[in-house]
Amino acid sequence: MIHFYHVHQSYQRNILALKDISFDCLRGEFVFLTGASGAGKTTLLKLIIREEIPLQGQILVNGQNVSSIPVNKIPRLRRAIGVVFQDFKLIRGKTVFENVTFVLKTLGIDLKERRKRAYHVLKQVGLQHKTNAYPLELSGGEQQRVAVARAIVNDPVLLLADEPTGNLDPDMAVEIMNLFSKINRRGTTVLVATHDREMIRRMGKRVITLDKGQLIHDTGSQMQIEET
Amino acid sequence: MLRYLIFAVWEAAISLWRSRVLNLLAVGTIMFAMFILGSFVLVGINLQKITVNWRDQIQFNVFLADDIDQSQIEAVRGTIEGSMLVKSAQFISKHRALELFGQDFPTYQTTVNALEKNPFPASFQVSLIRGTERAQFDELRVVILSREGVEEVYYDEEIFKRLDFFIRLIRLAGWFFGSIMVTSSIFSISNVLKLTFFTRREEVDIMKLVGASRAYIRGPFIVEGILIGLLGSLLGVSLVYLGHLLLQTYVADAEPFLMASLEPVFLPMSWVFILVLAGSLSGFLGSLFSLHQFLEEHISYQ
Repeated sequence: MIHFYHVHQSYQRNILALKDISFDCLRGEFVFLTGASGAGKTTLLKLIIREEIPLQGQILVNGQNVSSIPVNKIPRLRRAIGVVFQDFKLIRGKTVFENVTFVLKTLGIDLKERRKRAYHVLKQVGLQHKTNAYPLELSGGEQQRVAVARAIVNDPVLLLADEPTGNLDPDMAVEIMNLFSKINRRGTTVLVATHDREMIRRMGKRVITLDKGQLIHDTGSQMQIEET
Repeated sequence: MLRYLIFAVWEAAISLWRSRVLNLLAVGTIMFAMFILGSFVLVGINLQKITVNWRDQIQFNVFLADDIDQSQIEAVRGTIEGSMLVKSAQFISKHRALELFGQDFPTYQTTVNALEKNPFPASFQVSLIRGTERAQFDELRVVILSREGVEEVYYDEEIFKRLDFFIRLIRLAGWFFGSIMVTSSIFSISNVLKLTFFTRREEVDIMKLVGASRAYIRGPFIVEGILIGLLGSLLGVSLVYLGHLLLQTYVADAEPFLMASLEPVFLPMSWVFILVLAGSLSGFLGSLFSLHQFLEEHISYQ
């Protein structure tokens, strides 16, 4: 599903945000990406959705080379990926329902179907009673759950989450992780960037550790181990 | 496609309402531009109507040779009356011409009576139909001059020249002011929309990140520009209509001899359509310019 081949990324001359990153992430895998702040987790996620272009190296996502993908193909790539952003990225002028279903609307899905899917995902994150609220009327945790709902509403093949439990209380954080596990069991590949070690330990999934832009540890694909 | 259009119009309408103060400025700008342009066209059309009335009164004379016989006179009459441009033609014989001179200038009556020979030629006094062009008249003149017994085709060229110049001036000024107003309104809309885009750049960024295509991002902005142009031009044309009603009231109350030939007419539907289309097109171009710049600077996919 995700293949990184000797990827380098830099924001300033001589300061590399990512150094020679290579790893494979199989379809249907659940992977934690961890490391201290500034390790390069968010940069790596940005490269996957082609928010940034790598300085060097190749990145394949869902069979597409995102380093050289034509600009007009980027929206389609992103619609196949659900992303929970660290800062939620909710549109303030739109209601919870509108935020969650915006992509569905651009895909031409009718209102009835949008309502059905929105109710379904909002129920999963426990916000079915907040459909008409605006993001600024919600708490940080609620906004994060709306972001999760938006990321999964289109049944993505790949789900990326950047610190998805950072603003949640421990119970809700566990619930969200259980939701990710459930989505993963349906075949969606999940990549979660977090520095919540307790959560990583509790989930018992593959962990890729970054430090100062370098991949310093990879527990390896559990799926491959199981197959072996 | 229909769904996309509904989506774009709906999103544009929401955005128009959300940034209504800013958008009112853009609507006001295009309204003002279309009001000025429409008023100019209105004045032009009414002035043209007056000049057409003047043209209607233009006559020319076909002077005949002294030795012309009756059959030749009839041939000339046939040529004149056979022309589509001629409204009426009156034959004035040598004798009638002398009489008329005596009536018009009684003080010279004795001098005229003392003449041994009538010096006035026979002639046709010809009136042209409304709106005859100079070139058409020239063609007719050549045909008449080619007839035997015709000595001269006389007309007051200055009047023609002045009218032509006046009408050309009206048209030229119309194009000049029209171009300036339309160009300035495009830039006004472009700048106002740029501000709108700027206030929504975060939203656009999010749309982009969750996979909205460029068409879905651009569409509502473009429609918003068109709606601003459409709304502004409709209001502008309405203001012109209001001005027309006021002018009508003023003319109705004015002294009849001053405004005898002026019954103000409103813009023909074709012009209303052109103004509304020009307004919408200005909105479209304005949004396209600013969007292009905005996309380059803020929502590039790179």
